[in-house]
Amino acid sequence: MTIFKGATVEAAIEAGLSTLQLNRDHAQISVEVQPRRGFLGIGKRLAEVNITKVAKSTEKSNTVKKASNEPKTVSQEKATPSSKHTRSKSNEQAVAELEDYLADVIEQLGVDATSDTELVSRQVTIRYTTEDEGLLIGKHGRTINALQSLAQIYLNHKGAAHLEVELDVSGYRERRAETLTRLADNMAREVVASGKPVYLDPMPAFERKQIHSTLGQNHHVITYSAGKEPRRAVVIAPKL
Amino acid sequence: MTDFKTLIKTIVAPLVEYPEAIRIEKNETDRFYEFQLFVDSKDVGRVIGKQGHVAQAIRTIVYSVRVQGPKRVRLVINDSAK
Repeated sequence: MTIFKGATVEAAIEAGLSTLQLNRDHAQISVEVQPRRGFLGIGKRLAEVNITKVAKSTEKSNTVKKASNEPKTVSQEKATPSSKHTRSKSNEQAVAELEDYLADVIEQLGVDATSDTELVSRQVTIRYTTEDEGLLIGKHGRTINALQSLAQIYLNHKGAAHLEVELDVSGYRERRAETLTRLADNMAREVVASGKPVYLDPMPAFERKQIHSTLGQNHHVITYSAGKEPRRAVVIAPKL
Repeated sequence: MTDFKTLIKTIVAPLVEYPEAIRIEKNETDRFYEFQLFVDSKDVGRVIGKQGHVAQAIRTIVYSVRVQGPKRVRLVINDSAK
């Protein structure tokens, strides 16, 4: 039974294990003192952990228990894969393949881009960072939207249709969302002033949705969509 | 100039059942660089998609490549080979 100190609990455990030359599986770890950052070095406190060598049979439940109140320990990360279903495994694989596919296409377009992928339940978000922003986004997001629908088509073809994919280039979606909100508000004001309905420019479904939800709480106008894809457009009309 | 044949093939190949049947022919007219895409007759529907959505996405991406000179690119999906 030995006590080790470190700036974080994790660091303390790491130091202790290497000093004792123990594997985490063979040690019983208990946190004695939680670390404190302090302010400007005042009130700073190092983490202290107690490490005991244990026999193999009992160690598992112990480490896991200790890990549960320590969000950053490795043992908890180890526990996650076992709780994953085969379904999410195949999701991850499909997303990885999709990433490769898009990387190939983007490279062929002559654009140098690095990607960052995020998979949260059923929503896949792939963010690209590139010098040639304009080339990858296209006029009014035409290229990136086409790539996005292509990505969705690819997933559907691979049998992962339940996944929803969104592509972003250097924060374009966020900027666009701001523009749309502003446009919606301005147009709503104009509609109220003139009393006549206004047709917005044609937009893809997810952008129309943003407009509808922005003006959903507006008591003076109603919104609906008119026209056929791909020239379907939001109409803002005064409420009677 | 970007290699359009490779680009089109990169886009289309993973979306079809028979990627080995893909064939692309280039014709140059006085106004267009025209690329004819041939796929297996069972795959034509996949490349075009419902309401032509897939075809539209492919075209948008292919046309987004900048070309030197006054000629434009045109992608024709050949669906007559039945």
